[in-house]
Amino acid sequence: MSRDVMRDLIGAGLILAVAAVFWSRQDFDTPEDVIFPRFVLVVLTLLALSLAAMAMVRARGGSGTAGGRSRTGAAEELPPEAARMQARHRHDAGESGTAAPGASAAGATATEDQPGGRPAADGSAGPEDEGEDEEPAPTPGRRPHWVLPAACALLIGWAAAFGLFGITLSGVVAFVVTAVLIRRGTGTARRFLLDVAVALVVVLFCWAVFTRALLVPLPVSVILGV
Amino acid sequence: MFPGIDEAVAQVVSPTMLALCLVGVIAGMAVGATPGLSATVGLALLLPITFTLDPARGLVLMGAFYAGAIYGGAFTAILVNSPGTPSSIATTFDGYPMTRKGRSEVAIIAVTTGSVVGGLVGVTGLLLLGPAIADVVLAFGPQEYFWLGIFGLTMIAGLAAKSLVKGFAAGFIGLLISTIGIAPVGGDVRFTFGFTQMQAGVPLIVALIGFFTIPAMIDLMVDPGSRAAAMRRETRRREPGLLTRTVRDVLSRPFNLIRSAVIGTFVGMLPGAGGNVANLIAYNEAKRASSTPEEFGKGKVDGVVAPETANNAVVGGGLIPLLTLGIPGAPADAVIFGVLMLHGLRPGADLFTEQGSLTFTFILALGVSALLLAPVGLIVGRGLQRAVVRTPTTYLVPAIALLTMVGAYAVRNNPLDVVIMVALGLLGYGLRHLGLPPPAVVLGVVLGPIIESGLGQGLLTATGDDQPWLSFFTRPISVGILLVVLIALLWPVWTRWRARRAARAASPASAPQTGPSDEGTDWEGAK
Repeated sequence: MSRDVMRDLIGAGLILAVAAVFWSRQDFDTPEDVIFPRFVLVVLTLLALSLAAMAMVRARGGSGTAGGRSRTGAAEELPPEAARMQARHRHDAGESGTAAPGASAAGATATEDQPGGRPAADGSAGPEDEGEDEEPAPTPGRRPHWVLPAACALLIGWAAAFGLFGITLSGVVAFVVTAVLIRRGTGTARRFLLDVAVALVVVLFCWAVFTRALLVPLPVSVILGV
Repeated sequence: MFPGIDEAVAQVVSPTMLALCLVGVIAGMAVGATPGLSATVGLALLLPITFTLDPARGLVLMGAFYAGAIYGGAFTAILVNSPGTPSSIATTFDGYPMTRKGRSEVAIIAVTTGSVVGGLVGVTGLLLLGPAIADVVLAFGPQEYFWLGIFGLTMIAGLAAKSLVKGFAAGFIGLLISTIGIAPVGGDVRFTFGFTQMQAGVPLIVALIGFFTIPAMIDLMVDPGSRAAAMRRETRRREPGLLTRTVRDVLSRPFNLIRSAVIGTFVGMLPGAGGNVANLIAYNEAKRASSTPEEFGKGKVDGVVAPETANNAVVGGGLIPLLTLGIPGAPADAVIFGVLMLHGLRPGADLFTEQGSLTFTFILALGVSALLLAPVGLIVGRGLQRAVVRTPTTYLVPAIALLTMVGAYAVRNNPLDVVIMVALGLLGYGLRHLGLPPPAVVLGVVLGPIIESGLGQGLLTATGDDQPWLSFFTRPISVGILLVVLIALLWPVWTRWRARRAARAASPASAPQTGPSDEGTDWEGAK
């Protein structure tokens, strides 16, 4: 079973679970209030079942892009010339992503860039985009696995601490932790002190603007009293 | 035709009024650019200051602030994928991809141009057509609002990347989120799961910040190198003549500007719709009318110009029913209505005759404010953009995260909203990885209350009929909107068929695999 099919099945399962949970909580009965949520839940269920059915059909067919035939899968079934033309067509349409196996190099490097000239003001980037970065962006393969869970945990912790410890304490701590996380834990003690200083300035500025100028009563830190 | 307009012109060009316009636009921009603080919140904060001013100055300051706030919402939408106000939802669709390509300055210049045009068209509509069009607005009943909401939902067809099923699933998740809390018609408490704090539902701004900003924050934390590369590209690409070239490029497609401005003016007139609906419809229509719709969502200039032109046109459009009928077109107009009442001014025909000088001063000052968006936006706005570009990711991400937390909290001064915002953000991040586009979820959250209120109220108003449902299909304006909905739904089918036919004619071998159905915004890849 391909990754796309698996992903669609997980998506369909999640939607069905959400629909089931909401359906079980319909403890209201005014007709005008029942129609709309019930309609939404029924349609959601049907959409989830369609998604699952389409994924299963694709799984049996052995191809794999969401909601239709796989681009790569479809190209694999084509003769080399047709695959090359298909890849070129996608390149002309500005589609990014990997091209079909067997396609030409021109088709395989599909980007959103214009074929030549300076960058146009219509949203397409110029050719200098290609390979100009001295420092290539980290690719998912080289990314430490702990970063994503750590980022999610940090945001959840920050949100919970915001109400409990107030903007100042939670803000400064979470600000510094975020900076360290982005730096992947590397850096000198001096850098860390700089992070703390920047965090203090930003958080106190934010606190002053919201509480003094915009009169928003931000939550108070029970520890610091501000 | 315009009694007292000569007096109004003299007042508007006075140094005091111009200074008030400038201050209002800059202050509005600052508030609009802050996620969580909408134009309405900003105007409410400004209200006490206007008590000390005479009616004309108070109204001029409010109008300028309103224009600036709507415009300011575009900055964070473009630079950090966080719409400053709900009126800038659609601006994120192409604005943030432009930033990721190192083209945020082009986006800022383009939205400034669109905002000026939109603001001026809205004010012109208010000045010339206001009283006449106001009668049409009165003919809009619940059934028409229901169909307007359904029309907005057709935008999902454009947002769905590879699968309409996934697009609509995401949209219906948004509709489901919108049903949480007290029902708009019958007042039942729904889906609160025992939390009394949830009775007021999920605030739109909290959902907006969550679905748009949190996934962007996570992306930057996980892969900070991508932003660094884009920012280096942006700095390197800065070249002389960019301003002129971009303005000329935007103005070279006047139909996009005019269409979006007309949409904004008209939607602005409809009470309850406002900029958050107008910007979505304008984006969708720009995409539908474009010869290269597949480029939308990937950083196309027209994709930022259309929504920003429309939402600035809403400023003038929304004042049409307010000044002529006393019905606020948008929540922010309700605050301005408060200022009018505070000074003993009653909306209606008298406002344009007996209080002509004051009314036209206000309207003309809105036009001046729209013009001021250009210098203010190009100086202050580009300064902000350059500051954001230069800020290291290490500090930008926590600063934006802090701002989003405070913004979500400020909506109702409720810490639970911060938790909801992060939870929705994580949900959006997960949904995106499952191929369900988060913007479609937001679309559902925005349109859900409009559709449900229209449906419930429409059925209630037609209870005397044998078949209340038929009232949705028999009213002339309803039928008109229904036809537009059908055209909107059939349009992708038509273009797909046309593209397939063209592809088949060009290359019979590759025809079956090509066509617009496969194209569109790749939300999974657009991290």
